[in-house]
Amino acid sequence: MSTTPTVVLSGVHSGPNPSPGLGLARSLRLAWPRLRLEALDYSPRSTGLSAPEFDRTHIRPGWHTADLGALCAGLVSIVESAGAVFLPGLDLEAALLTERAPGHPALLLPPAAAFDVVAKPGETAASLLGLAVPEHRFAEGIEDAADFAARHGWRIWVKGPRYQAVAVTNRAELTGALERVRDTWGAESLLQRHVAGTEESVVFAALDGELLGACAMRKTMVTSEGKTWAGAVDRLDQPTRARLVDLVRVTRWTGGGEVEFVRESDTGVPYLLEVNPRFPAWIHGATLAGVNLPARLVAAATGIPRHEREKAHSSGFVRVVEEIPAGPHATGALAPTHRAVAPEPAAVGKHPSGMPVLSRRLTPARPRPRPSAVDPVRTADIAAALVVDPYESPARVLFGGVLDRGLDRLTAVCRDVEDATGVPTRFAYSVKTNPDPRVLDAVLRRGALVEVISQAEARRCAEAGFPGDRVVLGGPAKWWRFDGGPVKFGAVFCDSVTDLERTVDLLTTGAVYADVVGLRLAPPTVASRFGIDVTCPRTYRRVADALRRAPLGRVGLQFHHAASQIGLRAWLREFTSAVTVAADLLTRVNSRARCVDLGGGWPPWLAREELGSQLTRASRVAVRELGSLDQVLFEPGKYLVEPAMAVFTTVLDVRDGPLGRAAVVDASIAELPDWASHPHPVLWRAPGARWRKLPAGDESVLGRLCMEHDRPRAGLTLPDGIAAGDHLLFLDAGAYDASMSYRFGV
Amino acid sequence: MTPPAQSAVPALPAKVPDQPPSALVEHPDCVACADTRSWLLAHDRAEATPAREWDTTTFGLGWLFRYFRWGPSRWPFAWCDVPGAAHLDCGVLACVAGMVLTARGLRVERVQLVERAAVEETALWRARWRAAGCPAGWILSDREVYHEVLLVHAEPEPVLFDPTELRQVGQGRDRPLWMRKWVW
Repeated sequence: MSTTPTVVLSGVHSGPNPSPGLGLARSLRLAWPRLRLEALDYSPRSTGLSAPEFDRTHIRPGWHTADLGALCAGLVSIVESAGAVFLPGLDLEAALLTERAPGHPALLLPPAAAFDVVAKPGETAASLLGLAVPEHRFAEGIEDAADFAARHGWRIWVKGPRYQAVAVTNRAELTGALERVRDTWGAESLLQRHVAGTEESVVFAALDGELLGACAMRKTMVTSEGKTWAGAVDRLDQPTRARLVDLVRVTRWTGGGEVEFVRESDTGVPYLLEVNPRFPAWIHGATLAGVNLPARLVAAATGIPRHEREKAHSSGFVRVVEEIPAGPHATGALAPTHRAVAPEPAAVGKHPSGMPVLSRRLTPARPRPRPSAVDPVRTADIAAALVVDPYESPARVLFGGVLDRGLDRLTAVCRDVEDATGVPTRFAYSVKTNPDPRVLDAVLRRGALVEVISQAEARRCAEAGFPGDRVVLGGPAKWWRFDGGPVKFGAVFCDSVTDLERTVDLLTTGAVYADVVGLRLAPPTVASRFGIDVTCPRTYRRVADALRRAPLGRVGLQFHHAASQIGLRAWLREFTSAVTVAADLLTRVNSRARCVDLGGGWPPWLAREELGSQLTRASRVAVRELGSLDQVLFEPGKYLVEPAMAVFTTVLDVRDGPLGRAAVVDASIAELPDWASHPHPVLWRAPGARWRKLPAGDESVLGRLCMEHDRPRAGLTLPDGIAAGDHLLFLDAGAYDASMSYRFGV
Repeated sequence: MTPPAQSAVPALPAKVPDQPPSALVEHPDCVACADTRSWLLAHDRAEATPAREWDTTTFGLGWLFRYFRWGPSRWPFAWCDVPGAAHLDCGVLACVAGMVLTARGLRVERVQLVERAAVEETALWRARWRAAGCPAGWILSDREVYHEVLLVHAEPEPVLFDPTELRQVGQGRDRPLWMRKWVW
């Protein structure tokens, strides 16, 4: 046993996403220049093993080869034989040691109960700390994940069980992130809403439930992964300290810890991101700011007297990249044979400490999911639509019952909004979404309006029986192939200032008559090619001048940006901003809006209450800013028709390939062109059997085309018995899958 | 916070400005001037969030920088010049921010500063102002510049707010060499 006080530190990799071991060593060295420091890691590629701060290094066997119990026992033996204390730098290693060597006095680790409290999403910890928890869900598959993402405006994080967080803004990123996190860590992903705001951290040290010290850090520079690269360190305010004392006391915390949270810009609400059961990688930044928490912890745990007082070198820190001489283990990190077959340098690797391997080993195997029963209402819809099997496959199938119920729901939403606001409310079906005559006829019979974006669509609606005053005209090319009129519209919304000027000319010459003429407002802070951004000062002036030159009669304002893309919260924020400035603009030109059109892009999964509530809130904002209104419109498209159609297909082949097990069907992305925007739920039926829903998994349905990307659905588990001749039904194919489908490869 | 007396500042600058703070021209009966002021107030109202109430760092004025960057302005500068400008100097930004914050119900006073600058900075700024054809009299010497900020009577205490930097004066920087609260 060494007579020199010794500390063993694990997790010493120092890369773009470093572990804390090297920072801990530097802090301890600052407090005790003669302290013996030993580094411990699980790969020679852990770069910090070469750092001069360490007196000795231990490279332990990789997690994939060793018995976990033996690895833990070996680590404890290293610590005990050196008479050392151990500070962990790796979350999973710390959790494993807590489980295998509970209460060991030399291992400065939180107890098992603390790990439970901080396990993601950390609701208990958040409650103790007085923080909110962002909306979250554990992903069961891409359908579930896409639903969550759409509900939160496609600004979410996909998080691993302990490490890794991937920002996601679209379906492709979501699919990739789910696969990557699952393949890396083995466990299911946690999905969390993105909270826009300033990220802050609190780092602390504790021994047996007693807080030894803490400080706050605000990130001033981050890497592309969001990791700290520079920060400003500050003292902890008293209320936060008091809550931290509670957390530490309740969990009987020992060791270092970090609370990461973000303060939402709009609301000021602090949301917990995560609690790390170890010191963070930036810990030496706190030391340089005069708060040496590793030294406080080691001093309290060992009784080693401290010679130096803590000294603040600065109130902030920055990271630099530094080359140091490689140790012998590092120069031999690559086997000669490896070098021979891989001429390019070995990738640094994000996890040389082997945490992904350990995570996968600790994740219990899950049973293969089985197809599930289809709910009775859906079963009845399918039975009504497929009275006999279609005479051809593939075929698009209309669910009349779904369409009728959708129209009932929209009618009810109109009534709800009208009751809540007192403003007459109607919907205008977005024809481009699916111009099927059966759909137009159903809409016509309900007395609803239609929204068109071209003269051709307007003529189609006239042929279907819609009078001009039930047609809303919008879009950037509304006068393309205009025959000179005269023609009547219920409302015309202009997409640009020049479009406004052209429309005013047509109105003036009598070629066009419209009950309402107005502006389509662009969202102020979300990039969009559509509409007029009245929040831009130059555009504001141009619109004001245009309206002064040609005053309009009944003015309308339209705000159309897909809530299914940006989320309901962001939609309402953008709408409020745009309409607030537009209201002021109209006042400046002695005009006022009589009609507000809240546009389309409403997610199909919104319940009547959710859609009604959103439209009511928007209508109230409009009335507050614009005064009383004659009418509120909205333009559902996919909300109505997406669930109303499916694509019926036949399995041609079932194969094992490079993408795993897959079924090849006679449909393709030509029949499902919107495959990339939303994952279609898939039902399966063997001959003579009932339809059953396919669960999430790693398998795919491939299309009939000779195109690599003809993979209309991935992320499924195919049933064991699936065979050629079985049928699959792709649901939710009634919107752009219908209107944009094309003939190809037939 | 009340600006400290001149004796409390580190060192007196070589030159002490004697002109009043910048003021934007409002052309009589100019619709564009009125439109600009109206746009500013409406936009500020549109950006209101609960968190803005206690933000005494930026005062929720970050939206201004969606449209403008700090840079040379050609004086005299009128309200109707604002929409067409890509750059606004500290005088214009102080006028604009002052009007917006006053409309929110905050008491705002204009404050003039002389701040330290590095020789490299002043050389760069002088060249930039020269290239834009604007006088660079605000650069008082190679190491001292004139600057305009606001004293905002916020809760819980008054704040010396720099609308150009979108932060409080002195946050992470040297204290000004000289300052004067202007009483109109």
